[in-house]
Amino acid sequence: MTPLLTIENVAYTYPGGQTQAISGVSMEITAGSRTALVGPNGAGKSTFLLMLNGILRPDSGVVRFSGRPLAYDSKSLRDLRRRVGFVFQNPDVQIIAPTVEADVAFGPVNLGLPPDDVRRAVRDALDHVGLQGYEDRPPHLLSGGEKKRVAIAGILAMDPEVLVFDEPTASLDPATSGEVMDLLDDLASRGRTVLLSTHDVELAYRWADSVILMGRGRVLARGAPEEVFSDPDLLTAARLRPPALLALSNELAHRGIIDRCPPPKGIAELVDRIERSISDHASDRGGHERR
Amino acid sequence: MYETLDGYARTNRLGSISPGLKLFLGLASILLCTSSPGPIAPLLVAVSLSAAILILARIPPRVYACTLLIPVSFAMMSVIVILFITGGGPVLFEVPFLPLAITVGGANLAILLLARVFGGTCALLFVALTTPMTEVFALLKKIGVPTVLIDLAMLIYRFIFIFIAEADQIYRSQVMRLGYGRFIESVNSLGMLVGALFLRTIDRGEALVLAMDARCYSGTFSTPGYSRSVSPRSFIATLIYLGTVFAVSLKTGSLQFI
Repeated sequence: MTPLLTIENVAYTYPGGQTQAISGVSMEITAGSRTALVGPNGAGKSTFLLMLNGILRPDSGVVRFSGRPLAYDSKSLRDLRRRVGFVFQNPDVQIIAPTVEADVAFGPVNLGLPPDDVRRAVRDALDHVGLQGYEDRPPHLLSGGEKKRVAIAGILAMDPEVLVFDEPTASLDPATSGEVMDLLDDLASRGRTVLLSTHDVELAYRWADSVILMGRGRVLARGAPEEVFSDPDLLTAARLRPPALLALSNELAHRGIIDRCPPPKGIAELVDRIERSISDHASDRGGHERR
Repeated sequence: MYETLDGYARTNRLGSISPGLKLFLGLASILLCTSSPGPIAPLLVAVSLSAAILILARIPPRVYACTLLIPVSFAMMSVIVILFITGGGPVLFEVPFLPLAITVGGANLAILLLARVFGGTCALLFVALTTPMTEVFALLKKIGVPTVLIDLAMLIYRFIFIFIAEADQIYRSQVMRLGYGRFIESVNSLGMLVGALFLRTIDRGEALVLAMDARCYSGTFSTPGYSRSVSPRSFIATLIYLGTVFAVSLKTGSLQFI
């Protein structure tokens, strides 16, 4: 499968910065994948994501979209940004217009769509994030979760192929962040490529099919979440802790209580397997005693 | 949440009336107030529109009184000056030991000005308290105001609330660390507040440019739409009201209080 986004040996230093925010980062993002960029604060996750739609231009190295290196003239950038949608961490930064409807319409209007198509795009995007009936509300009267959905709808209305989320669940309560993650699940299952950055290993473990572990501006590891998060030394180096579920199942497997592979994705799956191994054990013993 | 005029504009009972009609009524009333030769017509506007604000739109009287007090107290101050510096006619009152006096001409002018300002303010508040800004934007677009001005107004509107929230945050964090304990501290803290706000404004401006670029900004904003048509009944009622005020202003033009 050809990678949709290819990043080759990219480095960046912020203007006036002393150290490189990211140095020598290379990776590939395949079409239709769900990738989580995991790392502690200051690992360079946001800097890296801002390069994917050309907001930051790397000092050295190349970013390729569909095989072609990014061009930084305004026409190519506009085209790129339509195809790679970026949802900012703080929705207050992203929401520009005085009403929800006008804000979601911002992208489509600037793409030059005819009014009917703009209306349809806005309606579909608001339906998708579950904000029907919010059209005339001003953003300052919305809750944090609602603002996040407006920000996501504003990007969805441009119908991008790749969605990039910078810390999608930051400062949201557990229920709301669960809903946002469900929305991301839904988007990814409809064939869009979804990338997010987070320092929540539990979230990354459950959601992603590919994890990129970052620390101090470098890629420390990449692979399936159960592989990356099973290496305690790697996680310590990245100032993170393994997901509780994975740590528990690894320990159970280590003590021979359950089979090692494949690691469970949910509590129910783990409990099922413990139950199965207990009942196997019991029937073995039962057969033994009868004999 | 903050108690703002905008909040009341969204929730008042006159929300279903076309914003164009409300704006027309407000502007025409202001014109009638300022052009009226006598004080009766502006006072009529003040009383009738205050009644509309309080009874029809159900704005709490305390909120209305507080909002009205700000511009009217400014007007009072200037009216006092006018009372003393304008001459004409017999002297009503003289300040002992100072060359200051109130004359009949001055008193009449002061009353007229106060009535005009009062009436005009009520008309302005009628618009401000019953018409949400977002509907005003749509209206401005409809009547062909240059889009640059509307876009700028929409951005300003959006950022007013972010600005208030940021200022509030800084203020609270200062109060929590006892920043406004003594007078000198208050001055100091206020300076820090303003400085921090200034820096944050610049940051926000840069972030705004990024956000707009990231969403393919090419020079157009979408303006919020609304779908409220003018009902013939309310249009005729507005015309009758304005006609009455105009007639009153013509009839009572020469009437003087003193």
